[in-house]
Amino acid sequence: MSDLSNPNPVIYSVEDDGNLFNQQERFTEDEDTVDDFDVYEIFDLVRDITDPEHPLSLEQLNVVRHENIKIEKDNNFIRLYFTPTVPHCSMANIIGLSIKEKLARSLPQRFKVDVKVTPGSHSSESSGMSNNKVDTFFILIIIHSFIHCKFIVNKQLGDKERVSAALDSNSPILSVVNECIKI
Amino acid sequence: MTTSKTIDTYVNIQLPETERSDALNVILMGMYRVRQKKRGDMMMMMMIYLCINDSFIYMQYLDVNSKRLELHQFVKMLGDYLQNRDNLLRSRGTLLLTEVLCRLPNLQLNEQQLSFFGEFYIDRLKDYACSSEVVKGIYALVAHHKLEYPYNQKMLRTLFSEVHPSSLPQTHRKMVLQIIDILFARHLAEIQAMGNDFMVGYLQFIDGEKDPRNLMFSFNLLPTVVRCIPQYASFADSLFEILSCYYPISFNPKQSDPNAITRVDLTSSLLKCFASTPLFAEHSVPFLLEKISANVVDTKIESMQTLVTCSLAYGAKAMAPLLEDVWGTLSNQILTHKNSQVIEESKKTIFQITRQLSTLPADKPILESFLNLINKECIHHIKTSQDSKLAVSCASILVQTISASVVSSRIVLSYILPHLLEFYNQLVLEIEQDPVHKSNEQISIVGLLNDLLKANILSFQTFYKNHQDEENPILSFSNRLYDLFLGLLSNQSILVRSLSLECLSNLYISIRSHKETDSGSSKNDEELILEKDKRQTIIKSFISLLNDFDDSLRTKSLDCLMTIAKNEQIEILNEYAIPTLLQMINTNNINNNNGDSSSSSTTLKETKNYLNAFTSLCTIKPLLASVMPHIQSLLLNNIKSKYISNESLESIFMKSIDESVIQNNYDHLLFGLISQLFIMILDNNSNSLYNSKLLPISIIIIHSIIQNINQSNQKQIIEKIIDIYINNNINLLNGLQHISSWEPFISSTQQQQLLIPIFSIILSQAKFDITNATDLISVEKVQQIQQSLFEKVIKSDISIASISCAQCLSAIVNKSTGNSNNNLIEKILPIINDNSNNTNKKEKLNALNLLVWITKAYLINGNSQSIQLGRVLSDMVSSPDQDISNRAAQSFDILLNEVELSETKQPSTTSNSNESIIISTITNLPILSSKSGAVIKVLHQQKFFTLMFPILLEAFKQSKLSQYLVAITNLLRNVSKEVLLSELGEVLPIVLQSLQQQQQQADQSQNQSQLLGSSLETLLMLVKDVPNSISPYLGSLIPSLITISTTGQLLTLRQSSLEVLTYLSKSLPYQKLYPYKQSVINGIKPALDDKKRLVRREATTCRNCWYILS
Repeated sequence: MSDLSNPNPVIYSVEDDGNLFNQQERFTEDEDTVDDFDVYEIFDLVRDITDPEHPLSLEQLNVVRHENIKIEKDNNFIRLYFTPTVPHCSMANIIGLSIKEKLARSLPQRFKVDVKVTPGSHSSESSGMSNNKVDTFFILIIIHSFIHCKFIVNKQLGDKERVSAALDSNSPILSVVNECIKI
Repeated sequence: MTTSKTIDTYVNIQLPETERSDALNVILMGMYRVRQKKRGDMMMMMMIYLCINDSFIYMQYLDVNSKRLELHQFVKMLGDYLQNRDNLLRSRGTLLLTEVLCRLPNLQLNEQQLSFFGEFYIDRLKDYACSSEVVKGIYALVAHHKLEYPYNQKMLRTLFSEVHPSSLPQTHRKMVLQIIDILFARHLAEIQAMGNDFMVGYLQFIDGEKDPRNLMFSFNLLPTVVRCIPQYASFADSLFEILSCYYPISFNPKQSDPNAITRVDLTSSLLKCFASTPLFAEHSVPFLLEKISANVVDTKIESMQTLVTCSLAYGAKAMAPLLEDVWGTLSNQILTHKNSQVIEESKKTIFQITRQLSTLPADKPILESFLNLINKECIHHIKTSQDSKLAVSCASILVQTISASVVSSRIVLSYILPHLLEFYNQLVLEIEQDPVHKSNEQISIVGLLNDLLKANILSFQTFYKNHQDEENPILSFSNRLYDLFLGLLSNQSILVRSLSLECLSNLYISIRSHKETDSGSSKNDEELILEKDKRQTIIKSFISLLNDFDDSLRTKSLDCLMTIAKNEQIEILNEYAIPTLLQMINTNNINNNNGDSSSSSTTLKETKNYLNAFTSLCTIKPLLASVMPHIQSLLLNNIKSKYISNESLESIFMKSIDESVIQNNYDHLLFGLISQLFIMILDNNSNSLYNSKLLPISIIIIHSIIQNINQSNQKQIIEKIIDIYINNNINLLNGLQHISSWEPFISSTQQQQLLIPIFSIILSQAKFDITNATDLISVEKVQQIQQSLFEKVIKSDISIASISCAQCLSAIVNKSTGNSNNNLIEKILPIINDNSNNTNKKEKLNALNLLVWITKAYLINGNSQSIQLGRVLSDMVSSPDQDISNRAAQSFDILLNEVELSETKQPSTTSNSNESIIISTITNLPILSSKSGAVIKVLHQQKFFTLMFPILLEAFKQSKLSQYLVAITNLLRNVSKEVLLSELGEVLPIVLQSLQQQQQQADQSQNQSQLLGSSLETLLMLVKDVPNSISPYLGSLIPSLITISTTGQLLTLRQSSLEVLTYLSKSLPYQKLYPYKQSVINGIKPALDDKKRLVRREATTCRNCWYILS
């Protein structure tokens, strides 16, 4: 129990679906109308990801909000900010990784996805040192939650090599991530 | 051969087994003969033995059979062996004696002999070498004979003192237990006299047992021991120590043995031991608590269940000193453990223990001290750690203790409620300082109050005699709570408002005191906690909230209103709730009529909300009966005022109406409705849009009404309706005297034709055979009706009229017992087959439609003509005329489709023209259901399918026409899974073939995509039901599916092929899917960028499913 970084998170009520998501108008049924990608669609993809520590969705924990998703259709660019439940949340990396991976699996390749911690919401968003050993960092995160403070979440998530190494098919992190984004 | 020699043979261990057993048999025979006076029987037995065992020794015995073998002779002869110095020989000798006693249960022994044997065995117990033989002997002696006073005791004492259980084999250890068991049954006093000595010996004996068979016996014996030997009390600790070694039982019997002892058997027996005496409490409860704190989830849960059973058996007195520990352990589990199963079980345990403690009034102090522990800790957590998991858990514990019983609810609530209310007031004062957090806490307090109220209601639902007339603990708080919640209804937070709504409804239905009543029935005025005026205020505020702009709040208030309505008297509802609702509906209607265009859409929405609420309330049967007149006036109003929201009223009729409700006002209601429709349609040469919306709904309503009227009343209606339509007697309807040219079956004006469905629907629902009801309709009349209907079917250019007449004819044919209908078919076929150009296409299709409906009529009543007609239809599938062919292929869906009126009517996605809505409404009405009096043969679908399927299959194989595939899939869609599975071998290749054909054909005409759609549908059904039968075809299936999902022309095709892929990933084992994983993941990438969001969503789900395969 003691290794939970946030044992008692605040639970937010899930937004009413009727207003935003499963509205019939968003899902046109004729053959010709083109439905463009929009923030709600992106949000729909990430809202059900579960927190690695709690059996709660990111939406319930208010980690992701549709207001914090930007989409530039012309540049094929998506930027998503997520807010860890507590400023020093050790699971921020895993959450970020899960979001990134879920989007990679679910969106066409033309999109470039940028996943970041909402500015000012995490103690380690901009300070720290770099680590050349790609994989060790993520493993450490899982084993010892306190070491993380010295590393940069945003930088980690931006580092392509590190991300792909973390999600290597033999990596223990992959199973954690898969568990988080299981449908 | 003499007896002594036979004895020698038996004892000599070097001789082969068969010879020795023969020797034993000879001796047994001898002994048996002595006892048995009837020589004849004896000879018979000998002969039988001879036949079975072709052994010479018996022949010898026959020679010497004149000799009598007496017991004392036998023992004398055995004497040498019994005292032999050789261990082996001595034990063999003892065994022989034992065998004689064992196998001759009827051996008559006199007192002297008995005491001799007793002494002998007791003495021999000291002989280590033959202990197991002696145990067996004692067992025989105890089981078959009655030993006198000192021997039983002595025997047991010696047994305990001399024989070490580990030296005995399993069966003999069991024998000792059996001896004890028998002695308990027959010589209880003797054993009880042994007292402590018995317990000591017994404990020694059962300690360390490992064999499950013996354990079963031992566990089952223990409660008897505890019951019979009062001295066990001083040994309770060691007894429990022995038992606790086995807990929790981990034992896996061999699968092959059907009689094997299972783990469940052992566990339940052990549980009985645990629960056998309250003296175990001080040992077992700490022991179980320790197990609950262990790490293994299964053990935790099992221990909690054991704890519940034990505490019930021990009673409150024994549990009292331990309850603090119990609470400590359980609360620890609930508050800190992660596994939801454990948490649930812990809560259940608390619930059960609370309930057990509150059964006896005498135990109340114990219950109070237990609950106080819980209360204090919970209120502490709730106050200090607001809005967190801890507080939520504590709240749920309180819910458990409250709902356990009325008594516990009183104790808890009278402590908790003042604290909570005070805490709440404090929060309200502090809310200025920290609005975000404090209001959050406020919400959770209201939520908690709601949970507590609910739990309290729950506790009042189970009735206990002991708690008769216990007053509801809410009673003294009711006013404070009422004021609080009512105030909160105007709170700015939606969540708070909806919570307080629920609280109010729960408060509303709380009853004053604990009485035995049927749950669910409406309560008397005095029984409810709140006074009448308060209740009315609640209803009023609920009704006003029905129109809230927030969706969730609206549904919530409706739900609460429903809860109240179910528990409240009808009179009160009629006095207040219903009039208010109706008033709301009507005022809006009037506003709407005034034509204020800007506000009309909002008022329309408002009215809809109220109407929905009204509809839901009408599902309560007793209420519905009393509001029938209101419904009628609403209905007529709506038709008059062109107000298009009859949908909600329609559902009243569909869902809740039944015969008893409608009995009294059917006439007024039905003909009122019909005349209004006539006026609307005939008078107003109004827009067809309005008619097309009004008509289907009205038809459904008429259908429901007529269906629920009994036969004799139906006859009156039908007589009248025939008069109106066939005799053109429109004057029977009020207000229509001015219509002059009323000839519905002759006139070809649109309005008159639109009214025809009303007639045909009513006629089709007759619960009797119209062709044979001469008292009602003359034969000529019937023929006239049929002829008119037939002509309308063929000639009418309005589909709704044509279809409904076809259905009506079908219903008449179905119910008709005579054979007069053949000429109908004779009339139809020429029209369809007429290839000259003088029949127009529309008429042909209409005729085909009629043919389909007639076939359906025969199919349902089991007439053999259905198959002949089926063949005709099957031939038409290959017709060169594309339309006929299409229609015929689709007709198989209509044939087998058993329509049930249900809410889940699929909105037709293809085309939304008004025409098609009407047609689909009409076709989907259950014309030939049991409720409408149709003659229905059991399993008619299966019969038709088994006969029709080979015909279509053959036709397909010969012609290769894709239309046949459409027909087949239509057939498959409607049969039960069992039938489908039996034809799987035939079906699957066809489906796969059609998929692959599609893939190759570059151009997909509309026809083809229709076929592909139905193939995919069938495939989806198969994947869901019998995934394993698909697995051999994966290699060709998956690539086709990927291609369709990315290049399919229709979005439904792309969507459903992705859906099939998703289901495949979920239902087949990993090793089957693994080879295709990468190709699917890469193959459906283009679908992620599909232009349709529906497809994209499916693609995302599918791709993610395949990614996490393992």
